[in-house]
Parts: sequence; structure tokens; C-alpha cells
Amino acid sequence: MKLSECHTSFVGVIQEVLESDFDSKLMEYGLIPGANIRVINKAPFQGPVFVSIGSQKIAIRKEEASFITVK
Amino acid sequence: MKKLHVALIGNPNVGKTTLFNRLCGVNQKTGNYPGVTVDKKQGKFKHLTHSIEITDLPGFDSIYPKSIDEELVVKYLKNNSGKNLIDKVIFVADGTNIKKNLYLLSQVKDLGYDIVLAINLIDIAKRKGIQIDTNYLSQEFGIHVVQISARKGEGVDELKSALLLDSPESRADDLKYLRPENHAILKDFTEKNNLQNIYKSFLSITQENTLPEVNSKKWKSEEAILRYQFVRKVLDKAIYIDKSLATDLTSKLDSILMHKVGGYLIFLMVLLVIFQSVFSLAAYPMGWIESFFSLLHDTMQSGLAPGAFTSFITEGLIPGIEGVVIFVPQIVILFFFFALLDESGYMNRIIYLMDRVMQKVGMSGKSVVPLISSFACAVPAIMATRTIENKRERLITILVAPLLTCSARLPVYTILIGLLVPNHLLFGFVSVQALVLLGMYLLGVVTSALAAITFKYLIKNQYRSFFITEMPRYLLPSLKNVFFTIWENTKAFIWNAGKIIVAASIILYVLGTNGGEKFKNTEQYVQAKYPGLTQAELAPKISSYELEHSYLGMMGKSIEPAIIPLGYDWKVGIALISSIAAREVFVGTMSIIYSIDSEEDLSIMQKLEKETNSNTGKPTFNFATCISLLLFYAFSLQCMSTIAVTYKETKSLKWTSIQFMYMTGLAYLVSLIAYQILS
Repeated sequence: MKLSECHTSFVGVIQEVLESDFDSKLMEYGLIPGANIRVINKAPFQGPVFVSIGSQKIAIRKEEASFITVK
Repeated sequence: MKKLHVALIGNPNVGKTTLFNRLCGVNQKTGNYPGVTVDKKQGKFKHLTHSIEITDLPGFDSIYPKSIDEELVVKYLKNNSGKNLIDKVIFVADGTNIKKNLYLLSQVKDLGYDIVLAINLIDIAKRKGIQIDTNYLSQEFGIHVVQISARKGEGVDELKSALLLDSPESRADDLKYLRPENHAILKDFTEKNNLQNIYKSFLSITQENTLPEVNSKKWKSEEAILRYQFVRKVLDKAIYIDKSLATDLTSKLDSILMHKVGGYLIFLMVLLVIFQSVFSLAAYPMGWIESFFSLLHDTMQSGLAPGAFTSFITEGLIPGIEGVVIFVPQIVILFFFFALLDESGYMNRIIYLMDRVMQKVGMSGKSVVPLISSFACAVPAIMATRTIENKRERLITILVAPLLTCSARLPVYTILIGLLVPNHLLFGFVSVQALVLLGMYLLGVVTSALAAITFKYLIKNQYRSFFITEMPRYLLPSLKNVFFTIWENTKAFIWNAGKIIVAASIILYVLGTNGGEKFKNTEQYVQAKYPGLTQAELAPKISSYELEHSYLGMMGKSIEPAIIPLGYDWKVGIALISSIAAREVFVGTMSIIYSIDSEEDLSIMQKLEKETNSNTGKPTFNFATCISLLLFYAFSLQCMSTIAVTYKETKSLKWTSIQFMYMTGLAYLVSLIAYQILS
């Protein structure tokens, strides 16, 4: 499932970060395969997704989140 | 005494600036990096046998830059040579969230730097139940590690001493970021090109594609995975978190502040508080500044011998400086709030909440802060766009920011609205004038949104816009940092806007006090025209006759053909030209020009009401002209400082001219249409 499609309070593991111009950027923020991820909040009107990875909390746009698959 | 040059680096929001202020105190200066607009802060302090010079670099997230700030730091770190050679690096990390910091640390370490790791916010980390094994980190990375609290000053002396020690050996693999099967390729490339540092040669391959047969993208993404694995392995051993101690206030606050409805309501309230303070609170110090300058003006005028020099001081220089200082209270208050929002961590939540809306009009969540500043003054607003990584989003924000109603427009609006509608109360409590003023604010907001959408379709996006940002924990702001933010920004405003407003006022003063033959013989002409008047009655007529025939007056007359269709005459033309220095100059100029036909001492409003247009013979400030002028001031870029700061920030003559032309063009067109329909 794509991260962009997850519901609030989803808990899971990142499976894959699909290839893109910004994949290394995502990985620098800790969005790497195998990481535990939790969706904390989603901004209204298709806005960014707010997730926690370990003790870190980050927000990414939906477009970027669609490059991350989770389970 | 031995010298040591130290660079202070780290991710954003780790308390780097607090530490820098703690280390150097007032012993610091701010400069600029050549060609870019990022501030370069340097400071000095002495410790034991060494004199230590320290350079504070902007916070950055990655060795692969995605903003101007980051690009600058990365370049600085990659080309460490010449007279500014860095001997040591203090890498500041956030003790409450060290994983991402260590990732960057391992990259900087691989560039061959001698590093002391300062784990900051250790007091908060301990409260959260986080324990860090500094010995283990020290051995893995081959660096000294110190735990500090820059806010409280804990561990800072230990950090200073650690700078003077030699670093231990690293236990970790040198090439941990590359798959073993590629090691030979990288080593080969490094030797062939005679490069000193193997990671630099890796970066040359991944960033500049210097080795075409390598899939550099793959190397890059594998670096991220391998490095994270390494960092995680180290952290598993070096960090122990006692879950029972971790209080999660941040999560609780987030569920309120980022709520789908409540979050926006709270943001709206925060905005209201900021606006309320910027306008009503600042009115007091602004009043004091006004009285101070009028006192200064009167003292100078009576104290100095009358003549050209005195008049230059009292009519040119003093009003020029006043025009700058008068904005300082609003800017101080504005940056006080911004510093609070930023330091507390709430700013990132605003960015998150607003990103989608702003994206619709071609900007980013990060544009919200500059746009709010724009209601006070466009100059600090344009400077604040530096945090927007994407070039197009930043450019659009710069281009539309001056359309929002800045405070220099207020005096102009007040006069014009006063002429336009009487101060009736609607339903017994709503002031009609206040409603019109509110309408002007809304007009600014709507126009800037429309302009942004237009630019969104006109400007091609070179880089894909993406948005990924860390959400820091909530913190109680440190007063010292708040003070520094206010100080830095106010200083930047006074310098950037100030020199231009003062210079423009002086030029306008010279143009207004010099002229041709008629100007020089003003007294004779005026006396001939009004034979029966006393000296006192003549004085105002003389000054307005002088202005009419000064160079400034000639300029006003020369643009008259262009502004007649808008409903103005040459007198308004003079005011338009002179308010290029700053919009509020309009009011002062008008009061000088229109002293011409007043028999008794009238307020500027009464003078303007009596005035008749020299072309049509009707009252100059009729309904149509007032509307036309209001619209002109709403849209036109009557502000030299904004033009200058746009150029400084975009480094592009093209975009600076586009901004000036589209705003002036819009102002002209809209005023023209409005006047032609209404008159």
C-alpha cells in the first residue's frame, strides 16, 4: 500500500522507496525500507502527511508519500 | 597564543545559534558570503592556550544540497582550503533526536574533518529518559563527544577543552557507504584523479556524474540505506531510552494544534494576536518617535543658523531618517512573534497546515511567514523567503509579497478614505471608513493570490517542488535567541531599507529645493500675484510656488499627460514621484503642495477637499479620483527599498523589473478603468 493512502494512526513498516529524483532525500530523513512508521495526522484538503519514524517526526506532501510503499 | 579556526555546523533547529551566542557572547560580527545573501557569522573567544575563531554556518540537512543555504555550506565544507582553513568542526546534535544528526555527522566525518560532537539539549533528553553512551559514539566515529545544554551553559567549558585535544581513531569502516563490490572502482577513480579524500571523489561521482559508467543514482540511494544501517547499529548500542520516563507533551499538543478544524482556528487566533499587536501596540512607540523627531526638527531649526544647510538637515535628512525609524516598532513586534513561533516549534505546524492551500497558488507552506510579514513591510518579508527551498515558489512569494497592504500604505489610505466617505456609523457601531479600509486589505490579499496563480502558469519549474520537513518537539523559547532574532532582523531592515529611504529623501529634497529662473525669483512672482498680502500670509504661497517650479514640480508636470486619464493633475504627480522613496511621503508632499490656496490654517484633509483640478475645474478629490488613487497605491510598487531588496534577494535584474512593471502596470490599468467608469 502507498503511504499516501494510509489512514491516520496507521502503524506499519516501510517496504520500498520507489526510484525518483528525491528518493535519496527521503532516505536521508530516515524513510528507508524496514523502518517502522506511524501516520500521526493528515492535513485537510489532500495536504501533507505527518508521520513518525522512530523518535523522529516528519511531514511530507502526499505526492512524495505516494513513492513510499508500506505494509 | 595559538590560533584555531573552528566551524560550527549541524542540522537546522538543534540550538546551533544558542551555542554560538554562548561561546562568543557579544564578540561576534555578521558578514556576507560572496555572491549569496546568507549571513556569515563569525566570533572569537579564548580558551587556555588558544585563541579560537569560530564561523557559524547555516543549518543544513544533507551533503546533497536542496536550498541556497545548504549549497553554501556544502561548498564551504568541500573546498576547505586557503586562508580560512578549518582546523576543527563542532558538530551540534539534538540529544532528543540524534539519529538524523548522526547521519549527517558521518558524512561530514567522511569528508575528512576533525570533529567534536556537541550533543545539545541534554537536559531535555534526560528528562525524556534518554541516556547516551558518549564513549561508544566517540570510538565508533573517531571523535570527541561532549554533552551540553547551550541554553543553560552546561558542558560548554568541557566542549572548549575538547577542541584542543587530538581526536581518537575511528573503529568504523571507511567505506561503509558503498557496497563492497564497488570499492575497487571508487579507489581506482580516486587514485587516477589524484584526489585527497575518497568521500569527496564519491561525491564527485554521485553529484557531478564524473564517472559515466557508474549508476550514480543507485550509488546515492545505496549510500542512504547503508549509512542509515550503520547509524542505526551504532545507536542501538549507544542510546538507551527509558520509555517510562518519556512524557509526550508534543504528541498531545499536536493533536490539538494540528487538528483539522481546531488547528486552523488556533492559527487564525495567533494571526489576530500578531496583527492586533503590530497595529495597536506599535502605535504608542510610533507616536513617541514622531514627537521625538518633530522636537528634533524644531530644535535644529531654531538652534542652527537659517540657510541651505539647516534646511537640508531639517527638511531633508531628519524626515528621511524618521521615515525609516518609524517602522522599527512594528518590525520589532513582528519578529518578536516570529521568533516565539519559530523557537517553540509551532512555525513548522503552520507550514504543515498551510502547505496545501499555498500550493494551489504556486507557493509553499513556507511562504506563509513572509506573507504575514508583508502586512508590516515587504522588505523583511522578502528577506524571509530564503527558507523556501524551491526556486519557483520562492520567486512567486517575492513577486507577490508587496501587493499585501504594508503599513506605509496606511497613512495614504487614511487620508484618501477620509476624503472618500464620511465617518458614518453603520447599524450604529460599524464605521464605514473602517469597512473601506478592511476592503483595501482584502483587495491586497485577493490580488496577491491572483497574481501568484498567474505566475504559477508563467514561470517554468526547473526543480521539482517537494516538501519534506521535520517537526521539532515543542520547546519553551529562549529569551536570548528571541532577542537575537529581533536584533538581527531589525538591523538588516534598517540597513537595507534605511539607506535607500534616506538617500531617496535627500535626492527628492534637492530636486524639490532647486529649480530654474522662476524658482529662483519666487518671491517677486508671488508678491506680484498677490499684492495686498502680509509677509505671514505670503509664506505658504511662496513655498508652494517654489515647489511648483522646482525640478520636482517640473517632473510632476511632465508626467501630467500620462496621469490625466487617471483623474490626477500635476500636483498629484509630484506626490506620486516623491512617494517613490516611501509611500507615506505622499501625505507630507500633499500638505506642502496644497498650502497654495488656503487662506486660513486648515488641516490637510480640509485643504484637499477645497482643492480644484487645474484641468477640469471640478474638485480634485472627487469620488472617482479618490478611488483611482486608492487603487493606484494598492497595486503600484511605490517603494525603492522593496525594489532594492528584491534585486538583492533574486540577484536578477529581469525579475526585479518584472515585479516593478507588473505592479505599476496593474496599478495604472486598474486606476484608469476605475476613473473612466466612475467619472
